[in-house]
Amino acid sequence: MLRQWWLFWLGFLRIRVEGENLEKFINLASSRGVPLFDVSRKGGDRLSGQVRLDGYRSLRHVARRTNSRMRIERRSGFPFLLVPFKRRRSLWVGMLLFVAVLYALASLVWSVEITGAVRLDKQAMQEQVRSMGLRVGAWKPLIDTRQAEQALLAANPELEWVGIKLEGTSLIVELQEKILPSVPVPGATHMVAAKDGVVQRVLVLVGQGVVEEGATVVRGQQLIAGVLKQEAKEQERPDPKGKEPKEKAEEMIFVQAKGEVWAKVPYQVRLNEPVALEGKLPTGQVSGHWRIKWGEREMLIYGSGKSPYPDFDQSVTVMPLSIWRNLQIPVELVKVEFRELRPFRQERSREEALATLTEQARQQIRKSLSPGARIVKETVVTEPAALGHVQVRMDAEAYENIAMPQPVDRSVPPG
Amino acid sequence: MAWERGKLRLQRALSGLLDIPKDVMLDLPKVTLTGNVVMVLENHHGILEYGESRLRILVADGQIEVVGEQLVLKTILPEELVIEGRIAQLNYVR
Repeated sequence: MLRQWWLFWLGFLRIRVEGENLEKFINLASSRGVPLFDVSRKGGDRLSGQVRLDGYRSLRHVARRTNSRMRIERRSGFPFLLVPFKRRRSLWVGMLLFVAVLYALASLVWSVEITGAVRLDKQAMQEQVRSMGLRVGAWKPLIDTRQAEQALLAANPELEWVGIKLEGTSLIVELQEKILPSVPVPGATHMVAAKDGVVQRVLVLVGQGVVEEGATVVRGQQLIAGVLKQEAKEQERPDPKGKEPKEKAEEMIFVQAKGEVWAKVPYQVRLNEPVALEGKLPTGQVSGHWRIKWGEREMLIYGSGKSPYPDFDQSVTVMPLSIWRNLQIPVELVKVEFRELRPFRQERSREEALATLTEQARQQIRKSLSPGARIVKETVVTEPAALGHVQVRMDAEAYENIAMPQPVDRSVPPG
Repeated sequence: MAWERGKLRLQRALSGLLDIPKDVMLDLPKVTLTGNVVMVLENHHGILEYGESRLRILVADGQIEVVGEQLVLKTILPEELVIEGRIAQLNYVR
């Protein structure tokens, strides 16, 4: 088999030999290392056989010495298949041209992709990248990604990191934006209460404190005013109804109020839960199917259409097929996965249920606290609940900073 | 007496140990027949006569004659011959 394959690539000839001493011909040929194959006698002075293409030349010598004539009957093998191709010059030119054009086109950038622009304007970034020469149609060897990265970083102070890489014919620009500190509210601001509470301590840095310690405040109430009035002292206690804003407008100074107002803030959480926990858990058994969607029509290509499980949870992933980069065909691949679910029931004692419920309530309260706050008082009350249920009420008191900036609305008289 | 017997035994053991195939030692032909269809002959010294029904091949100590029908020399190498066809007889001529 392997020899046949070799013979095909080297090429072989079927020859016909005519002469008196054919045995001598065969002996001489084999002693010269020219193997003959499939030799068969055709009549008295005739012989037909096959010989490798590279052995034919020395065979002619043998034929002369044994006084026999040789004729080629058939040519076969790869070298002879090539003959018509050798003549067609345009075919060769075309093949070379194809490779050359492919190579030339492969050394161009065919798509520019920018990822990671969240706050930055993507359009502007594209414009910027294009002006650096990283455009569709650019010649790849001319692109210095390092330099472009540096230039982009220098031009955009909002950027933390830039990565530019060439993947085949697509240029990928990865941006990582800086995480900036939260931008303060511009213009004059008041400090208002973020939550209801009883004020414990007021620390005014900038502005005019308008609440006293011990005062009960509600959400949205002004705590530190961002509007200072230079004039009369009686205006310290704000009472907007009694004042004419036109008169006072000149004396008003707008500032950004700063300060902390620590207050005791009450929280209440009521949670109810059955003693025995019931629910559904995935068993780990997964099955699914693949569908092809073409417009409105759908076709199942793999798996069964219906879930084999009585109780299940399903997820559907739609994959639009793209032929090449942005070229899309209106065919979607839909993958549906069914995950088997199994009901479970966890028996607990009443005490256990209460303990977990209390912990849940505590966590819930903690989540709504502002940073730096601490819980100063906490009471848990077990409330009556339906049969097989437990109910817990947690009252907590937190000591926290409730001041929150709010822009001053200048059209409204201060108050 | 005991000495003679020991010598004989040693000779036998040695000849068994240095068992060299006869075809390599004496340049004798080695024929492998697969049914009556294929015959492989190693150590040939040339073809004397070649016809469709009769083949004579020169070997070290004589000739081998193959008689059959539609005999085809499948391969001819300096040391090896492969004959295909319907082989009827194989004669060893001295």
